Amino acid sequence: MNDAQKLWWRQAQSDLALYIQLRRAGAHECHVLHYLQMATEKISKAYLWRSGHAPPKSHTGFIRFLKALLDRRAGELEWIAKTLGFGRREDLDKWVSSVQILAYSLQNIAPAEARNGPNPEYPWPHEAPVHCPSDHKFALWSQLLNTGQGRKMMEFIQRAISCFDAYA
Amino acid sequence: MPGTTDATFDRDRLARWYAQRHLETDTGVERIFFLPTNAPPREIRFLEVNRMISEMTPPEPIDFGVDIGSAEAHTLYVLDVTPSQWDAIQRQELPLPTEWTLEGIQELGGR
Repeated sequence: MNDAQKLWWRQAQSDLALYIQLRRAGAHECHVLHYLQMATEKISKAYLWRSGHAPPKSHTGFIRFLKALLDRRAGELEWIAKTLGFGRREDLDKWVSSVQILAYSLQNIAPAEARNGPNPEYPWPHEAPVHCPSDHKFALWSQLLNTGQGRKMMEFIQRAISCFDAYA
Repeated sequence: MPGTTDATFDRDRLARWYAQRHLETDTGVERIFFLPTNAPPREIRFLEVNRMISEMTPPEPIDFGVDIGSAEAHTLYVLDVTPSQWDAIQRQELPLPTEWTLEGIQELGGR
């Protein structure tokens, strides 16, 4: 792991810790989702710093992290999959394919990606706001909490951050 | 990932493998183009047309850090663009990254 990766990893861990605290404290969904999304953005950047140079400053996104990870050699993916809670690399492959919509939803909830729609930070639409994040019930949060895929996604994110040094 | 050595590094074969992987792992991707012209011998450049990304972010290529520090080390850069950004690139209204060119472009897959 290079120094830049370590810094981004530390920030991902900090964002994840706050996500857990906010969730336990019963904070508004917008804040819990916001910190979960930010944690995935930080770990994505931490991973892409693997190349030795900076990924774009703009939003990198969780999906790119998953794609880049799955481009690793088959031999590496066998133990990476186990590290991330899967029996075999094929199981990791299948799981990533099955959670695409959920993963894109999490990626695209960031204000920069939300296209003037629901986002966890700013009232919308920007030009004539009628919605406030703290009042909003996010369908994404319901999916994360109340579906098997959603719960697995949250578990995956926590493992991806806690075990980052193993596969960085 | 198919194995390679110094004597047998096959960029085209690797490019096809990565393209297949990306179509399998990212359902937002509609088309994948390989842009070999001007790229260093061990650099693979992809332009991926993706219907699920936001146009609010200007396109920048990302190094996927796929194979570093080994004898078979190579680089994969992916430039994600929306369908309308792809149209604009083809009309030369949206520039490609510096030293990237559509000359010699190969489509490696799509939906």
